[in-house]
Formats: sequence, C-alpha cells, structure tokens
Amino acid sequence: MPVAVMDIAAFKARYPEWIARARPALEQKNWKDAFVGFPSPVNTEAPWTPPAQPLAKSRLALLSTAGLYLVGEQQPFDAEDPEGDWTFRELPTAVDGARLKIAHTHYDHASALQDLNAVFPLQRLRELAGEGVIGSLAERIYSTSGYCTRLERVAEDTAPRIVERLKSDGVNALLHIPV
Amino acid sequence: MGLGNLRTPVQRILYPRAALVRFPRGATVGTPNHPDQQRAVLRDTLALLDSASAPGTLVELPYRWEDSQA
Repeated sequence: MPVAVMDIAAFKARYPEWIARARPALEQKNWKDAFVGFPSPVNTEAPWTPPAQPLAKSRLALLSTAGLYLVGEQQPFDAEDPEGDWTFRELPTAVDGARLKIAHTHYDHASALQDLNAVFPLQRLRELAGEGVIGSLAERIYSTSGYCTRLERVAEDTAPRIVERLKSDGVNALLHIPV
Repeated sequence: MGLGNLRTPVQRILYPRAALVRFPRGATVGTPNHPDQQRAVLRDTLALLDSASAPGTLVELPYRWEDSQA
C-alpha cells in the first residue's frame, strides 16, 4: 500500500464543517462562494524515486482528470453530485478516442471536442512511443473527474486502486494531467 | 510527472516532477489540432523523468496558444 503524502486526517477533520456551510452554494453552482475555506491540502513533501531506467526504456501510463468514460461500457462520472465523483475509469490504451465522452462539467469542452489530444493526449503518446521517446505505453490508462471534493476518498480508495494496477502492468512512470 | 496550467494547485500537490503551461483549462496539452506543439509539450514534460534531480522540480514551458486549426 503506498503511503499517502496528503494529510488525510487533517482534511477529514475540517471537511464536515466546510461541506455543511458550502452545500447550499454548491447546489446553486455558486462555486466562488462555495469554495471559500475549502480545506485544500498543501503537501509539504514530494515523493521521490530516482527512475530505474530512462524514459526511452520506461513503461508509461496516463492519468487524466478530464472526466472521460467509455460509452456503452462504462457509467459516466456523476456530474450532478455537489461533492463530485471520486471513482475512476480504466481504459484500454488501444481505445478509439471516438468512443470516449466527457462527464465533467467544470471546464469548457470546446478544445477537447475539436481535438481530444488537447486534454487527453493518447494519440500523441502513441506517436512518441512509436518514435522511441517513450519505451512503451501501459495496456491500461486511467480517467477520473477533476471535480471532487471528497479528497480523502481519492487518497484512500481511488489512488491505491490505480497504483495496484500500475504495478501489475509494470508501469514505472505516470503522466498526470489534471483538468 | 504532472502537467498542469495553474501554478497554485500544481505547487500544492508538489509533484516529484511537473511542467507548467500557459494554456487554458481544457487544453492543457496545447492548441487543438497542433500536433507538433502538443508533442513538444509532452516531450518536455516527459523529459523530466530523466533530467529532474530533486523532488518538487517544476519547469515552466515556453509554448503559447496558436490560432486553432478546426
């Protein structure tokens, strides 16, 4: 089990007071007022592992918070819950981008709809792997929703599950693109 | 490695290695339909795996939004 960098206990202690006060504003989609006083974690330590091998020999996975899911096979992220959605979707790296849809209402989708690579650069990463810049891409990549206030669920549930899969797939580098 | 467009959240997360871009939210990797720019952003970000020598390395990339090709 990986050790979380985030101070989960501190977040859990402060969250109930914040959500009780913020819920009416969240339900009205008044984000500016709602997020005043949100107990944002500020990490003080960066985990560090020297790479075992160079990028050109590494197996890379992608983790995006753009809210993408596989239509017809996966449930969309809950875009209506005021507390967001802490779950993740596992996607095959060979997936056809045309089968992915966005369930995340907190960003403008215009660029992604023109070119999914602008926010989820799977095709670009395939190209870089083909050129030998990256050793290989993992068989599975991951999508979450960038709108989630239940950060303790992400730290205690979502992240460890993804890490378990990364280890199983022999991944030694992860590119995280938050949205 | 992280690739983000907002300095404050990226600094709060404190990635082992991260790149910062000046692209709008929803287009973190670069201008739509500009594959050369997107590949450059990714190359520079991924290169941190080899080049970063200390935890918390954060590099700001020089790329700027271009006229989008629809």
